[in-house]
Amino acid sequence: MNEPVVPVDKPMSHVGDEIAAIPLEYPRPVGWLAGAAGTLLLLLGFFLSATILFIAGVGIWGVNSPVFWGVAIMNYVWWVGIGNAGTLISGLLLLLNQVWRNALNRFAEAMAVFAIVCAGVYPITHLGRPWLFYWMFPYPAEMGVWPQFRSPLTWDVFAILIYLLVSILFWYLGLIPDLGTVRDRAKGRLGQVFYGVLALGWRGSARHWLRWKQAYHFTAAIAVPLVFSVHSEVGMLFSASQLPGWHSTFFPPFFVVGAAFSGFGVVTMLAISIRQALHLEDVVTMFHLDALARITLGLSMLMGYCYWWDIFNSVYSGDRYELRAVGDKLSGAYAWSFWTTQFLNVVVPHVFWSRRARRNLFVLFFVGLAVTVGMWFERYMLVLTTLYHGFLPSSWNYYIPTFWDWAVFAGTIGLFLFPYFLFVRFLPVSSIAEIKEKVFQIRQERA
Amino acid sequence: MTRLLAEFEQPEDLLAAIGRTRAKGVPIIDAFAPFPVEGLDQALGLADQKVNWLGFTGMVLGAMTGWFFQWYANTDYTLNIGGRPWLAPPSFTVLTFEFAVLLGGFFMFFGVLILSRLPKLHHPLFEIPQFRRVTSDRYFLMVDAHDDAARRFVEDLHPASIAEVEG
Repeated sequence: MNEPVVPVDKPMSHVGDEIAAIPLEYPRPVGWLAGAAGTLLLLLGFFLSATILFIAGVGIWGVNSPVFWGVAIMNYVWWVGIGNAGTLISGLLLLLNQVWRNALNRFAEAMAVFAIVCAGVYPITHLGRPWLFYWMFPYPAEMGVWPQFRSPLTWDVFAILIYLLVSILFWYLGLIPDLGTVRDRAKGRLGQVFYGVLALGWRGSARHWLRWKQAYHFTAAIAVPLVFSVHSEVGMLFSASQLPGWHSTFFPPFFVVGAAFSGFGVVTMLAISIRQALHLEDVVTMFHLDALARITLGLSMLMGYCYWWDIFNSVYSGDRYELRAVGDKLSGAYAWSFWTTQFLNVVVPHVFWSRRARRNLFVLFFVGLAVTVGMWFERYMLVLTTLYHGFLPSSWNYYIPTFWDWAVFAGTIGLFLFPYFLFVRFLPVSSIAEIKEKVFQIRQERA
Repeated sequence: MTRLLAEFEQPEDLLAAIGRTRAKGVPIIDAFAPFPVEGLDQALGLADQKVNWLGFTGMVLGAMTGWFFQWYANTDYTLNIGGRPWLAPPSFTVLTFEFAVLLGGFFMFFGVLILSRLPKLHHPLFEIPQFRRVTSDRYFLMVDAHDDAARRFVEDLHPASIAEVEG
């Protein structure tokens, strides 16, 4: 634990020099252009496939009776989970006063914002008549009907929208002082004006810092339970239905754990990519990656507990349909997705017992990827195992995603990664002011 | 009123200077730092809780809005689903809480800006060349040096530089 978590022994300007220089003189312009162009193509693919989907209708997807929640809802849950974890990593670790959080929080929050946009798009794409999506909002309709506020489906609309707005506020509030740092370092007129406007005239006044800190901590304190409520509500979308395998009070906590787990996977991958591409070894240290790996390991065991508790819960109920759902999970048509999930989420992260694995960038990256993919298969398993095997033989069907399912999915990856590339290029990727605050605190403690 | 801006190289120097200035009775206008320096609020005697109260007020108002809206929608057009009660507090909790967070967050975000008189893209301080380092590694104290004694006192603090703030 004696490793440097923040660059204590370097001058105060060092952190700012490292991080604020990136948006002004980007160190890897060619690599960035290649990545941005690639993800822009994916994003254009999203617009194309969404347009074709809206013209042709959801019939071009693989969804059909009884499986109406195909890849669209799996991806929705997957993206919400990734987004939720971004806020959880930033907010919860801030409240717990974890020093190592400050290198990671900014890009975890960016991940939250962009992932939640992808999540918000999915429910609209899976509507039969997407142009009527505004029916979900409470507007004074001619018929006098309001949305059904007692249903998780309506909670969902508000939860996602509110979560998006609060995440943006929290992210931007944290960015303001650092935008000031970039503004004051900018040499060119364009940079000074651009960052000057974004920094809103921040000048580091003690009074401003006092208010900023109160707002930042208070927002974190309410954003953390917001994450719990949003993802619990996503779990309730499932458990409020009366279908075997879903109808369980266990789903909200199960989903929250899954969300945090998948987000740690994605954050690990992002942290390694940003660290290596931008040479931020001083900011994102091996200690940070080690900490992420430890938490991934802990959450992996919690996930394993959740999977088997869920099965025990169904078995203990004694309900024949629940028992059948368990049978389907373990050996039904989609059992491969259950066992893939078990392998990727429960078995693979155990390499992190080894210190060498926790400190090897390749292992870290691939376990992060395994967790992210594993969490996708988990949603695949959860959605399909229950839906494909209806109560009557007439409602049994094997769902296979079509090309257009995959096209929209690939497109949302562009919808996530392209703004992320812009973020890495144009905004400070780590929290400069907060790292300095910790450096000062540690120096005070040493003195 | 002559506003003098003294520059310090270390946060500890700023804190020490604030202590001496307050003991001397020279009025401090403000202090500036690249990060929220621990102990700066206490040194300056700032104990303003306005933003916290704004957040709390926003949350209360948000909870009331959220609850009222769900109550109103269900009263205005009652959807009878299997005879379940239309006024259903357990179902209303989720959105009530989420609206509380929404308004709390908005109140605090705009509270910080309005109370701090931001955005203010230009400020006389930005005219002072060394002030550009306030977001990097310099710490500043702005005092009201109304007479020569106060001016000499600021010089006695041995700051890295002294500048007069115009406007």
